[in-house]
Amino acid sequence: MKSDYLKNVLLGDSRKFEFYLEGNEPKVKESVISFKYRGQNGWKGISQKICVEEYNSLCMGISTIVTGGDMDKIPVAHEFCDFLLYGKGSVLVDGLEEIKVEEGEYMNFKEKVVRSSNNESDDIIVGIWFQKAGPSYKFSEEE
Amino acid sequence: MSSINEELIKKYGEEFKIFLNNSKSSTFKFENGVIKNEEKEVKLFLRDQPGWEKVWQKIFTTDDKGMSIGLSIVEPGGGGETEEVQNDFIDFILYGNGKLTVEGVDEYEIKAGDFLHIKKGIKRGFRNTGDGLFISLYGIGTVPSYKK
Repeated sequence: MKSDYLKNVLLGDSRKFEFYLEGNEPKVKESVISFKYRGQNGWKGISQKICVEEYNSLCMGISTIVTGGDMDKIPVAHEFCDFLLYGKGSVLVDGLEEIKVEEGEYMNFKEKVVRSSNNESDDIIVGIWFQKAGPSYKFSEEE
Repeated sequence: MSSINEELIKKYGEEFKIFLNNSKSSTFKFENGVIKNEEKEVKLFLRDQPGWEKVWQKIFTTDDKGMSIGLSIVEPGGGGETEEVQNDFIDFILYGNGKLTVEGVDEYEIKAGDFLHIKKGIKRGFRNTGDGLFISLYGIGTVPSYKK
């Protein structure tokens, strides 16, 4: 299941359906969300697709980290929750010993925690996360 | 005697064990200026409220109850009857096919790979229309309306 699953479901384009009320009338907006490489300074090997609420009050994203991928030790901008969907790696938090994590685990990072996530395995890592804010990083058109 | 987790894994297959097993959670936070990692176990439970059937969930809520993410695992034929959504949430369909009913009238076929953003006030119901499990992960900016 996993290779097809990753390829088609997690890494492919996603349909986004937004259901809302206009007056008392239900409406739906449909759009498509694609994966983009996160070319942020200090980050490497990380791609994301993110579903953002129109007023930036909520967002959910899927992130992949390829082998050797890493993110710089930048403080967490908005508290978020994460569920590790595939693979294993490690989390480095300033002031704590390295923590090994693997698929099926939940994580909660409070604001300002300084952390980095590494993929030391020979396979991809996929996580799905949620926060009560819009994304802290804006993808450019080139990405 | 086997646990409910083991029974479900036996029924649906080892590839679903990350969803059907209980999960570890780690919370990284500052406490009195010191960084800490608080570990807990998140348990799978049957959401046995009226109108819901064959829906298993595994919900992680932050310690200040400001945010939750939860896995919903719906067995074939299972689902939830139409009810009003109390808080905006975002859902990502991880596995399977289903049907979403909005305001008791409009029906949408939903499938693995879809993001759903459902706003407060919408009345929605859902059903697993496939032969296998229907699995999604949702995020909500509070605690879920249902408490185990």
